Amino acid sequence: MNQREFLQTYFSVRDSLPEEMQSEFDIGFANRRKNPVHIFGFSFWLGIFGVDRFMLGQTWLGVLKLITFGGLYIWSIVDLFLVAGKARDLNAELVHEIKGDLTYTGRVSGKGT
Amino acid sequence: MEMNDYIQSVARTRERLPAEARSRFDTRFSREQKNPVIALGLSLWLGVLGADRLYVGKLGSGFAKMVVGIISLTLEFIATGELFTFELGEEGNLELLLFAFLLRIWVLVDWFNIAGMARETSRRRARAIAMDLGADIP
Repeated sequence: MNQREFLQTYFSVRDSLPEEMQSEFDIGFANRRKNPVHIFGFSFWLGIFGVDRFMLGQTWLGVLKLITFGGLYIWSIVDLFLVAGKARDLNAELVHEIKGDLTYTGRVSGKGT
Repeated sequence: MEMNDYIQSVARTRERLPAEARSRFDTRFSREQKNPVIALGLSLWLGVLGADRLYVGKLGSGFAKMVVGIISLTLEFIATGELFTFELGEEGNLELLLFAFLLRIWVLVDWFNIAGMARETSRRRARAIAMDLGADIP
């Protein structure tokens, strides 16, 4: 997912919420989101150790990447192009999850609650 | 500027627009915003030539950085006889090489700042677009 699609998703879900819930939405997202810039940075410097994939919650892929030294480095290069998009995909899922939480329970679950 | 503050800020600016104007905002904003990941990527690979600053719209410091970068590359070439190597060779000039690397400090510092600069630029453009579309922004 690229940045424009993600922002669209974020704004349209936020718009669909009643005003009182919007700042809780923002806070809930801020606490749990993954920053694609950070993950890209880690991918650049520590990509061969699979750190980027660990940050994306993909432990199995991370271990695989680690033991193959970043897929003999080739995977590390490829991942430079992939990880930010994956981070945004996860953030988009989070956005929908938070909306679901707010709509059905009126609260956001997860850290910071 | 931090990611969270940035998203908040743009969301609030966008909120001030009437609902009908929002999709026009979205179209324009998605065209004009600067992606901090791209900015960092440019900074890491082409930071020496100031490409990162040019991308985030800072043309003055971008070209200045480019000039400094070209000078540092030239000095590095003179000092070692080739580029992208860390060995000095016999004809090497250590002082010149160290000076060339000194000039690269700017490149290093920008790695940490460039994403924030990209978000600031995007935020500024968001406000400008919103004002254009008639929202009242304080």
